[in-house]
Amino acid sequence: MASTLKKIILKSCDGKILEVEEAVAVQSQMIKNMIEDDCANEEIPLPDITGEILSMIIEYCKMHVDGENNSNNELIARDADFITRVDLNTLYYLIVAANFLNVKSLLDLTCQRVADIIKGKSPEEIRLTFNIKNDFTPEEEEEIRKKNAWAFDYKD
Amino acid sequence: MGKEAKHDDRISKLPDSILSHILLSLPIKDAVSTSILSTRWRHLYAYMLNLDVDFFLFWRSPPLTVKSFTNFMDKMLFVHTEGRIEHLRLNHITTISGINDSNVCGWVSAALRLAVPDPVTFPCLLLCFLPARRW
Repeated sequence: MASTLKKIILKSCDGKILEVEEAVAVQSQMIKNMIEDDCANEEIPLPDITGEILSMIIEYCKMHVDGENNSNNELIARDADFITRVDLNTLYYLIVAANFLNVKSLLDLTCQRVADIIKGKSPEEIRLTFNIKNDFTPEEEEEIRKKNAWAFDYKD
Repeated sequence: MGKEAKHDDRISKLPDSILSHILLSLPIKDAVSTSILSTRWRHLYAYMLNLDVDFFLFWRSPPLTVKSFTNFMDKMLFVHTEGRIEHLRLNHITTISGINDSNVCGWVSAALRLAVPDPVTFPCLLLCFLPARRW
C-alpha cells in the first residue's frame, strides 16, 4: 500500500497540536474511519487525551509502521521495551486512549501489561498495587472464597 | 510498590469490556481470584470469552474437587448467559471421576449456544482431553 505524505492534525485535550503522517495515524481504526469518511481534513480534537499520552501513542504507532518489515521477535521486544517504561498511572490513561482511538495492538499490549502485574499476586497484593478498596463484608468475602476455593489456593 | 499504591483506584473505573480483556490475558486461576478484590470485580470473570480449564487446579483443593468443578462450570456456562464463548478447552478431564456424560454434554451445548457468532472465530470452540473411552 503506497503511503501518501498527507498529514493528519490531532489536538489533545490540553491544546497540544500534533501533525502525524497518515500511515501512522491510520493505526487508529477510529482515525482511519474518519479519513475514509472524509472527516479528517481539519484538526481532530481528542477531548480526553492529553498531549503527553497522545505523543506516546504516536510514538507507539510510528514504531509499528517503521517496524513493519522487522521480524515478529523484534517487534515483541520493542513492545516490551515501550510498555515496561510506563508507570501505572500512565498505563491507565494509555488504556483509555487506546480504547477510544481503537488501536487494537496497543490495547492488547496495555491490557496484557496489567494482567502481567496481577499474575501470581495474592488479592491483598493486587489491592495494594492498584489501591483497590475491599468493600465486601467479611461474610461476603468468606462466601466467595468458599465458592471458588480452588482459585484461592496459593500454596504452589 | 509503595509509590504505586498512592494512586486512586483507576483500574476499577475501566469499563467492563476492558476489564474482561485484562482477565482474558490471565490464567483462569488468577482471573477467578480477582472476584474477591471488590464488588466491582466480583462477577467480571464470568464474562470471559475463553475458558481454558484445567481440572488439576480443582484436584489440588480438596475436599471440594468434583463439586467445585461442576459448580464453577455451571456458573460460567449457565448462569451468566450474557457472556460469549470463543474458546472452550477442558484439560485433564479424563482424571475426574464423578463427572458424567450429561455434565459434559450440557457444558458443550451451553458453550455452543454462547459461541460468538463470528465465522472467523467460531472454529475456536475446542474440547481437549475429553474422556477417551466415550468421546
